[in-house]
Amino acid sequence: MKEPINTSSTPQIHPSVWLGRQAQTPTGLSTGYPELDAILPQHGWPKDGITEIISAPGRGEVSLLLPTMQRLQAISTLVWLSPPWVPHGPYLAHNGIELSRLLYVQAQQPEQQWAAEETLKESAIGALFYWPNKPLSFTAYRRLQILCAEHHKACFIFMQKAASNTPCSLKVEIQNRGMNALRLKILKSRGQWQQPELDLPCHNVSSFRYA
Amino acid sequence: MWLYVYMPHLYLQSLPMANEQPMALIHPRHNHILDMNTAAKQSGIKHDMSLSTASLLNPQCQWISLHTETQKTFHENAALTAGKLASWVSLDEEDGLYLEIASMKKLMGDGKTIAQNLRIHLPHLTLFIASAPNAKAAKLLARSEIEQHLSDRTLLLFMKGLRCDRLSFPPSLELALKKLGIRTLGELFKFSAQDVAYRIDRELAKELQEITGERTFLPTPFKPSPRFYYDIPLQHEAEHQSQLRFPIKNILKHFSQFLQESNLTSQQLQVDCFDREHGFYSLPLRLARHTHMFEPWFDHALKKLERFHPTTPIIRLVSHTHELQPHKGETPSLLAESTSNINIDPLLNTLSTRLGADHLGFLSTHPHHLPEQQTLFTLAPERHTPLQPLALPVSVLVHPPKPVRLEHYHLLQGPHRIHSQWWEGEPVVRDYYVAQHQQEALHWIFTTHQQKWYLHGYLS
Repeated sequence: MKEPINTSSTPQIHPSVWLGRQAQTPTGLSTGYPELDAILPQHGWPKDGITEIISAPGRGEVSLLLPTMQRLQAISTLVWLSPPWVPHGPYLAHNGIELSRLLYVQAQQPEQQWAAEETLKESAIGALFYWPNKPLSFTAYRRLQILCAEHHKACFIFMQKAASNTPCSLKVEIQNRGMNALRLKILKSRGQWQQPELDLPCHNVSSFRYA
Repeated sequence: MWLYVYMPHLYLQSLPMANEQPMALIHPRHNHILDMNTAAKQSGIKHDMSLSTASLLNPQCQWISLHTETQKTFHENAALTAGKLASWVSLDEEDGLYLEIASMKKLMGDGKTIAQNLRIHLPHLTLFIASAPNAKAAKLLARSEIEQHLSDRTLLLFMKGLRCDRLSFPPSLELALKKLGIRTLGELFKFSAQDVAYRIDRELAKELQEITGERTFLPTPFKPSPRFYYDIPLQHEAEHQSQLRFPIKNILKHFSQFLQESNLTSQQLQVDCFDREHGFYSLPLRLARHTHMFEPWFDHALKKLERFHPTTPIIRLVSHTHELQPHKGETPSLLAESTSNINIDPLLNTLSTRLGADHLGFLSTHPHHLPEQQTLFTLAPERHTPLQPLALPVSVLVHPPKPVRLEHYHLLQGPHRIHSQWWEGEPVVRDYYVAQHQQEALHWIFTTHQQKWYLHGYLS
């Protein structure tokens, strides 16, 4: 007599093999925008993976991440690696960013990649915000992705043009920036096929003193 | 027996600069002349003159602002040199030294001999040296530029004959003595201490007693600031950097032990690797943050060694530093914030090893009307950033501003005028606008009087 097949126990799968259902668990970092959280499969930015932000400078790519930065700074230090411009301290401080917990690192390739990897290994760091001065190779992406997963770190990579086939967890494009809103498109997200678009409110420029 | 060394031009003469060029030392805040060299003196610059007057007299003169820490270093260096000739050296004011010379008279000689030796050891300095049985008597003579070496027997006799207007008394005291008709020290000595204190000055009465020896004055001995020096000859010549790992580990263990025993921390250690021909390779170790722990130093040294390629075999290692700071221990508190245990020093040290300490830092704000001056970078940030009143909408700046063409923009808001102050050199007048670029992005651009347009930031 044939023994019945036991379907209740799942076969042992190596922990590094990624399963589609893992993405369904709502363990992301809240973006600070409920409408954006609602369309992301992890209900926020990936906590232990790469988020790629595709945007020309001036489309609100920093403002988009300010709520997340504020939340992460409460428990850790953040690193800005090689931004191609100079951060404006008073603006960040006014928007609730604690400057003593924001480390600014300036490096060129190949030191850039090394610095990114060292940063992700450090337990005191909450997230890495990385502006590579050249498009990253697939290997470099993969190394960062593995380090993010191993050390449970969020990594935000800022690119001006979207490269195809990058092993990131989430790829978001900021399509345009108006006076009071910015338009986003989700190009890739683990755990869903859709590529939704939405408008997010951002700082009202007219509220500044010289309006 | 005491010897006093007065170094009136200590600061200027200790600077590594050519003496032929006119130079003057100015007060950092009040901008008046504190000291000048001969070349500056010849152009008419005088002590206590205002900087504006002095610059009119000699526009080519080099103005050096007095830095208190540098002055202290120069003074301590002179004291260290003098310490080779006396067992007790004390610092006095900013430019004087007391040397106790009686206890080492047999070894070092009398006042005259020590004065000669001091001139040999400090050839770059103008010195006025006097010795006397009492420290204050020696000081009065040297500061009055009277080079005398007096004994117990000759002290009072010589002092009594000194004219008061030749001595380095303050002008107010000199005037008070003139009013009383006192011309020499001998006439002043005739008064009792109480009389001098009542009629002239209480401090003068005390000083006179110390000069004559009625009251004992002992200056506080100078304790040199701690320095680390460790010299190890290698048993075998090191031809490859990997052979230096063990000796450097040994050095760093000693260094860490020295720091912990002295309750100090350090950020910098210089390791000089000498080869057989007495040439040396410098291996500077510099951490981003001060520490007394062995591990960060060793990690840093290993990373430095990876890039260290000596071409000749190393036979000796000499490590030294004088950049040491007292260790500030942290008091644990039950009410401490949950975030207080965030320690990013290991990361800072790792990154600075390869990138250099000047490539990383924390932001801090600085009150200034020009946007490019409002953000500073520092490795030691303030604990909490004070909330800034928002003046500008821009989150990131382009530095230096990039020329742009107005045709690519649609102006949305502005102008907002920012201009520099008249005392800041070249005047800056900018009219800023928030403008939408063709790429659907918001830029912060400005125009100048010349009708040129520049991109200065993004509303990122």
